[in-house]
Amino acid sequence: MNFNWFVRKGIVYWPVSIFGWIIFLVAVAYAIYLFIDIDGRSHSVSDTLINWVFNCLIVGVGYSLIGFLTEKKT
Amino acid sequence: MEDFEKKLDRMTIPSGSVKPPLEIKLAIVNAQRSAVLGIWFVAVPCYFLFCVFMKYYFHINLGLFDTMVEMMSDLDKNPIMKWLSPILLVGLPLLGITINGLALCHFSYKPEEKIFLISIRLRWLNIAVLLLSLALICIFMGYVVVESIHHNTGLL
Repeated sequence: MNFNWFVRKGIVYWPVSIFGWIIFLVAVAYAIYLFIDIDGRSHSVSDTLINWVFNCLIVGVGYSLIGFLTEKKT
Repeated sequence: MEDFEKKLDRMTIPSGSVKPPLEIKLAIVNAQRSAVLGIWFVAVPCYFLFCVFMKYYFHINLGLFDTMVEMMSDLDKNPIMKWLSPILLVGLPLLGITINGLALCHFSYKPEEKIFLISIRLRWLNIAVLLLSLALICIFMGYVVVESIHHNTGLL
């Protein structure tokens, strides 16, 4: 099945359809929510950033997996 | 001339049934796409190892490893989320090895000669990702084995 939701530029998947944009915005919103949530519980700036980067990497892996499966094939 | 035509009619036509080699390839496995996904798959384990090296080898303790261990132990306490850390540290590199291995290898079968050929394409990015994933798995599995021996016998 060909979805054509994303195009790949380098190692990043960019949305090119409405579903792609929805997934992209959900991922960004979740990353912002994670930052606020982690910042509320952490004790220092480095603690916040370390936890947030790790969680962002996990979100990035999930997003890239969706991008890989639904990318526009030339 | 007629004799020649008759001779031509009587001649047997070669069958021409030389079968082309049967090629086996998965449509999903494209070399460049596999390399990109492989990079994403090794990002989390690499970050984890970076934290470990910063603390134990370079003795730079910015709280990187302590925070990471705390987070991993929090995940372990949750019965559903306890599967996340092995999937992230070993499962994703394994998946990276699989897709990059399939992208590099090319399988073909010659039915007449009964030869199964496996050729490896020299795509350096795929090879690098594959070796990195393999190294990560060896490091984590080695750690598990040594930790298990240490836990069971107390020798080390």
